[in-house]
Amino acid sequence: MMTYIASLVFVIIGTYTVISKENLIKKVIGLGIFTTGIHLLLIALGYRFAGIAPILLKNMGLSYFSSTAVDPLPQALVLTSIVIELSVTALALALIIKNHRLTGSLEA
Amino acid sequence: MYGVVMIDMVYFVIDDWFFIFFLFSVLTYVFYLFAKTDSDVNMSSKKPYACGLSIDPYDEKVPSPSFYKTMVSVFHMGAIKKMHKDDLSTYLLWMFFGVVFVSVYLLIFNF
Amino acid sequence: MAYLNLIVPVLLAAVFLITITSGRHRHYHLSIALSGVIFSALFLLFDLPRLISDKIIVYYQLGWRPPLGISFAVDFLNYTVLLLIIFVAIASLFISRTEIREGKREFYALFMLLLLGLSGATMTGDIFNLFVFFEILSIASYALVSYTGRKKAISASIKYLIMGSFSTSLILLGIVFVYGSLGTLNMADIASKVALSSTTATIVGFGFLISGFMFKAAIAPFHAWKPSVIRHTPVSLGLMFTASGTIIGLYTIFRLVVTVGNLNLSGMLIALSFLTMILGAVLALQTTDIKKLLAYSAISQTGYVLLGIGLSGYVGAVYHMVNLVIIDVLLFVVAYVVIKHFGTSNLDKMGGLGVGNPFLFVSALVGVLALSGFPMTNGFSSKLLIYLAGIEVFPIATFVAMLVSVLTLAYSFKMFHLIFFSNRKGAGVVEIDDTLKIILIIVVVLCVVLGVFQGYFTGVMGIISGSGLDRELYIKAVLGLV
Repeated sequence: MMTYIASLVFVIIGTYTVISKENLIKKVIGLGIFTTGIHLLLIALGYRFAGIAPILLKNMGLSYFSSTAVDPLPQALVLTSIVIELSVTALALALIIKNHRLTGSLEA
Repeated sequence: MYGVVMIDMVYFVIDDWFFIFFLFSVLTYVFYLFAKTDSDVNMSSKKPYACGLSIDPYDEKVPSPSFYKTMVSVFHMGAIKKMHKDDLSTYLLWMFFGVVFVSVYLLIFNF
Repeated sequence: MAYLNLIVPVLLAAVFLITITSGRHRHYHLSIALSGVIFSALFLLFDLPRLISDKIIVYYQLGWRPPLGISFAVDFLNYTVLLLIIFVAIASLFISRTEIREGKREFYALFMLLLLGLSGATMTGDIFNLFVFFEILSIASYALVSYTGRKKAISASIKYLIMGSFSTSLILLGIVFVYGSLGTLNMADIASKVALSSTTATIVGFGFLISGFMFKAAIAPFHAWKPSVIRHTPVSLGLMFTASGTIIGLYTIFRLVVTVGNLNLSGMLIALSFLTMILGAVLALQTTDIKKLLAYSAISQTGYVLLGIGLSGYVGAVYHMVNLVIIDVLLFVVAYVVIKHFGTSNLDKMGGLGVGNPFLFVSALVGVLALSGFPMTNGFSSKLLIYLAGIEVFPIATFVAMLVSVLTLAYSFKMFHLIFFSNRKGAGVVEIDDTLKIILIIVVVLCVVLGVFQGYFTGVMGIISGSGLDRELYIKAVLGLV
């Protein structure tokens, strides 16, 4: 429950930062916070109470594994999404530097 | 009547495609011949028609901001253009209101 | 043989080939790009008989069956969208042949990446795969906007990036809600489960998804990136962003609302479409730049398609989607020719091209008439279907749509007058490249043929939209009667 509230707080803080801050780097930080909130929500969805990591060890029965393992699909989705967010942040920062060189200001 | 058309109509429509394709190629060829024609018009001898009056070259061209100035000022359309300054935070605020509007509408009408 | 499946690898191969071709052989870049696009078009045509006989083509990637594996599901609606995207890409590459002088390697490689993202996003039947392809095409377009390196272009690219990244994060949030409540990522599986077990979370998830995709289609209030991006980028990129961005956004909204979700969204779509149509037309009346005018005109026509979807006039909506792409190709090619001749895109500095340019004059005239919905052109056919759908459901919508059509005639006539008339001496003869002449001829004849044979093409669009509406066929074909 606390994880869901924490991710809601992240999303709200991220949205507020993107919309109301004028500095471009703060906007990019806000985007990162927003995406982090979404990732937290996604991982928290897959959690099973008192579950084990989704790795099938050698002498583990299949029914035991499928009844106690945490959902591995959200973890794969979050990995993909972190990589995508990384490339977008890198591109954004490069463009902000170029913009700063051309206009001399870090705002819009 | 103008909503759903069943997929079984595929065979009915496909029978006609040859005629349309033939007409399409004929028209394309005719237009291609038109595109190759040259036009050598000596325009300085012609004057635009202005009900017998003569137009000053200065008056010939309407500057584009004044093209619909009357209608724009009557309906106050200039206010909409003023809202569209290049300001990122304003645009993001509009997007946020759009998201809120869409989610609230969906919650109310599809609960 | 899985022909459609090969489009994504062929385009990726084109990206790699362009990147490793050195600067010495830079005249090969366009040839590699064009051959990649033509191979994709050939693959599309090879799979047409199978599409007509099966009515939907489904490929399971790597053999994993849904709902666990990713599948590509192509029916008539997808196929039309793919055809239009490839047609726009060919026209855009022909424009870029004379427009892009330097930095060709980056331009063509990123262009092929954009096309790859568009094709993959159209063909896929899995929501997260759609998100990944959407991110590919978004990142490629952020880089493409800034590739010229000018001050205004970099500024426009930054704004586009921040707004676009916010909206794709919204798409991810929507996917989180839908997965959390329904437990699956496959669109057909979602379609089969949403009727039984949809909760509040699912509805909110669909809301976020639709908002995210409305950004790409430039529907108000998410439209603000479009005029500044199209103003500061080359015309070929403007054409690609306008035509294919709009069409992928509209197609995704259609798919999510109609096929997958089966949601009751008419009121919201009609309200947003009013806002979009009126905003586009009003802003186009006051602008002095031809590229911005074309951008606002595209926003306004997208509002028409959204109105069609909201009023359940799906045939008119799909027909207008096809028509707006054709008219946009025509107007952007004419705008490119005119901008190259005058050296500026400011309408105040143009004039007098009506003397001595009969071909360009007729093409632009057909384009302007088609945009305004003159009978015998394709604009009339689709707008009539939307008006008729409005009269049955909500007559005020027809009234507003007709009013915006009058405003459309007003601003398109303003553009036409300022380019072709208003200078007695004439501005010389415009040199049109042969490839652009072929594109103009094809598009003008398409405009006329689609308008004159209105009944036949209404039937064709009825088939296409009907296959988009057929949920049972979609679910049964993708899930394989599981």
